[in-house]
Amino acid sequence: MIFAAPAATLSWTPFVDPWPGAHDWWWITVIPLAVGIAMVYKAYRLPGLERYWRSVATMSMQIVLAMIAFATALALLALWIVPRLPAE
Amino acid sequence: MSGTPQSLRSDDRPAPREIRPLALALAWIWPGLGHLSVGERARGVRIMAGLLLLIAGGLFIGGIDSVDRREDRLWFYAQLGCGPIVLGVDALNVALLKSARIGRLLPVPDPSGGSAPRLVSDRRGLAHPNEFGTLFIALAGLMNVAVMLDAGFRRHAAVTAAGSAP
Repeated sequence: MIFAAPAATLSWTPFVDPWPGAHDWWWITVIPLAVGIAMVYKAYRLPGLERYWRSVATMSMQIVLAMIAFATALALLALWIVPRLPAE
Repeated sequence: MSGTPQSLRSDDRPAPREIRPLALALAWIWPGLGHLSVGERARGVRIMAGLLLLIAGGLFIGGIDSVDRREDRLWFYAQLGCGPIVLGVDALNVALLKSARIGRLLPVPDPSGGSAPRLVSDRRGLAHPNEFGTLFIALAGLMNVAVMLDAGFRRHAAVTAAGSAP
């Protein structure tokens, strides 16, 4: 469950206490992070704002896909390539 | 270019860059206010929405302990780009969590090796919540530094017509 165990949720005060679900669902936070960064960057960077939301969506997707690509590359390096290196 | 007299400029050249310290200061005081103050309403509203999304997201994920002037000093410097909001959250953190008005203070071993245990709030964020909450607000602060520079040094006359979307 995205809002974590009921016992933890009962005593949770949003915006004061940490979100209990973040331990298991931390990876999903990359989406609002990417959207927020894209919203700010495109707002001051675009010469005109007619295609603002399209640009924000494109940049958000680029950020998320780039992070997935980096995570995949690091996982391959750590789990597949490094264990196959010859030991001293 | 800077030495070109105004009378020799053609209309399609960019307007002269002019420094607006008031816009720069307002952009720090409240996200987006700098652009609003120079008439870039559409940009200002979008910047405000984006930065408040990042700040609120950070507080939602990590709680008010995401801003901690004493224990996360370097991160706090980055977060300070968001302006007085961050100072207010840090003050709340001290007033509510560090003084145990909410929750309890628990003794934990001093990481610097001291013999006396440190007291920390049982409501503070640990691991992922704290890391991501801190990161969200630090990124908002760094983005707002870029926004402040844009508000203070933008060639407003050249872009206002195109940038003031309805």
